[in-house]
Amino acid sequence: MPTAPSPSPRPERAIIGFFLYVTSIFAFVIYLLWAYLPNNWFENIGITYYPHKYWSIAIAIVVVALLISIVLGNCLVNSLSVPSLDSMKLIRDRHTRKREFSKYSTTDAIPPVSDLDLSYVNRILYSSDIK
Amino acid sequence: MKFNGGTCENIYGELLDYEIIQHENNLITECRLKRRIVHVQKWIGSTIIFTYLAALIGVHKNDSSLLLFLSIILLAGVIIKAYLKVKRECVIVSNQMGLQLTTTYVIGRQTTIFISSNRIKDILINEGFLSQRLIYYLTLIINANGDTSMLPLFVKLLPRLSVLKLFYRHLYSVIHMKLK
Repeated sequence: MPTAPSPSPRPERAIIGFFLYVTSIFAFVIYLLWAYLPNNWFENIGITYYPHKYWSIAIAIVVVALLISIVLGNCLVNSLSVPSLDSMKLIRDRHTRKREFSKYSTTDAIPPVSDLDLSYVNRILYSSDIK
Repeated sequence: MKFNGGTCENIYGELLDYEIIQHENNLITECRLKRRIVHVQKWIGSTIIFTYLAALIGVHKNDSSLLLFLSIILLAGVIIKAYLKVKRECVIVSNQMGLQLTTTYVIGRQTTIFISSNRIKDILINEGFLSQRLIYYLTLIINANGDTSMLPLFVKLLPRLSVLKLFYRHLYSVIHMKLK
């Protein structure tokens, strides 16, 4: 039986996490240096082929807009993929197990697991007489 | 005729009045939900504040076309809100005839839906999603040309579970009553 995906820690995940942590700090320091140091300093060292300074502001704006839109987009996708109030998917969908009526109350064995009928559940929970 | 009434709450916290009326020796049951008086003070207060802010900015000193445009938009918004806001929802059930759901809006408009009793299969309290909340609502299961479908009742006013349980008990006994 294949194991279900689980978020528990594993050695490969620890290595990947550490690598991403160091890389992100390094990339952020490089970005700050490139954005704030004047162009003369780069040419004095010898670095002449680097992106235009305009992109430092553009990257920052894109990152902020992505943060906001990913959060909003997640909520919107959740709201859209939910069934409406009048769809029959709220009562039964592709995961429900129907009850088999063939072996009903002929043996003493425990019947197989199945979903209860919703009107029966409503009668037990909400009405005053139990049948 | 027997009356049974009281006050309950919306899922948003607004107050509603409910009434359950039994006509004709328990043959016809009527369940009514009415919204209380709309808040006039809140509207007047926000109108005064917005006109003060608009006068402060100086909307009236510019061209009058912008002011006309804004006031037309606001008036259209008010009319649309009054057209869509539900004042009362009423469900009338009879075992032999069927179920009728009447929705009355604030400006007096009424819409009705009638389901004859041979199409009604069942009435349930179901849980569903509405704008990122999980709510309880009363729903009718209809047999429409061989395939079943659901008709949710009281979805504009959305009462809480205590009133829904009361409505469910009365409506279930009428729908599944067997004549002797």
